[in-house]
Amino acid sequence: MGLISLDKVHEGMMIESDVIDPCGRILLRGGQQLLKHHIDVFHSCRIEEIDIAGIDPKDFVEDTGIDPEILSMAVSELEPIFVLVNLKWDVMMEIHRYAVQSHARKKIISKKNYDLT
Amino acid sequence: MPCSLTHEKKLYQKKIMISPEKLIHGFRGTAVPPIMYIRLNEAINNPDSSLADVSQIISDDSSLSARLLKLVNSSFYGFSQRVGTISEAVFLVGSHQVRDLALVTTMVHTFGGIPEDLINMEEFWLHSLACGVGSKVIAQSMGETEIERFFVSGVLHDIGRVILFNRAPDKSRRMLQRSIKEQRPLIDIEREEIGCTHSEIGKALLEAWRLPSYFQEVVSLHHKPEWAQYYPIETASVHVSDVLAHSLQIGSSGERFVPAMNKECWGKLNITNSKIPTLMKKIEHEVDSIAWLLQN
Repeated sequence: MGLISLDKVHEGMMIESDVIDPCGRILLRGGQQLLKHHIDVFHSCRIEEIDIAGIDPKDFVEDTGIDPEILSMAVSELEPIFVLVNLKWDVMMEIHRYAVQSHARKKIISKKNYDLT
Repeated sequence: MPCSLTHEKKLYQKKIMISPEKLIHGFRGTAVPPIMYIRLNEAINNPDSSLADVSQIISDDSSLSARLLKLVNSSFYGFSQRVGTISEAVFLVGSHQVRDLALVTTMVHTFGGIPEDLINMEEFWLHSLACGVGSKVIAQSMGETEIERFFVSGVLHDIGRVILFNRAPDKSRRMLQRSIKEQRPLIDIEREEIGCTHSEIGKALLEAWRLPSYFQEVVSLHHKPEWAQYYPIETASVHVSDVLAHSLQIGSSGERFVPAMNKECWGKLNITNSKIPTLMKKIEHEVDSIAWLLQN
């Protein structure tokens, strides 16, 4: 099983356990296959994560669409500010991963703006 | 182990060379909280006053009214219908909450007199806003109802640094340089150089202003959240959102490095790893949507 962010789930995935809204109502029983309208309902009910069968969240690497070279530059540029944190701790690893992506996106936007001028 | 914790606390609190009270004394503008806060507080504490009185005080200040309405109608709250008047805003959000939001919207324009080369105040408040938004987003994910206290605590968390920069600019400059050179947290350098930290100075200010005790505890312990006795969740959420704001490089408080995060406090917030990207994305989005608060 693996708790996956709703942004990353898609049709056809198998639900491992019941999906419950913040008021405690069961929206979808475990063991069913996800359909598009399920995902729409989950979004409107502010569900953030779904327990998906047969997936290890660690292996669920999202495709960021960011050039690996820019990502690598972002990692180097952020290295000096992350010197005091334990990047072996999975929580900080995840925070660092998102921070790198965010920094890389800003670099891309900044370059586009520069090219336009 | 409460005994060793108390011992460590005592060690931590020793060797005060400049007292926080001395630093805040005489800092122009800090003798009392912003006048709007005092007026709202008096109205709230007066048993004969009503929500209409609170609304009237806010409505008397057209700039504050416009800011509050804009904030209440932003994605910060996400109300399904537009809030058209201050009375509606006070009714929906609550008088204490509106008072605290008024404090923040006023404070970001209050403090000055800090050399530009030391810190850019817009960047400082941007970091503070990011921390407030992060704390609020964490509170919402935990189902907390009083999200304003989380937001305001986050915005105020580094307020002591403003006073430090203003009252001791040369020493502050040296401390910033030492922190970078030695690759150590600025708060540790503060303790060594002046015997107290921006957290203690901030607490002394909020105490002098008689602001609610939850703000005092959070500001005082956002770098030592494990010591929070009365408001551990608020303190933990500001501690974590400070780490997130630094990681996202939103604004700058003067601290160069992402602070180390306390594992125990992270555990209190029930945030799973898969929620981290959504949380960080929300912080970026919401800070963008309320950054106008920093404009005059």
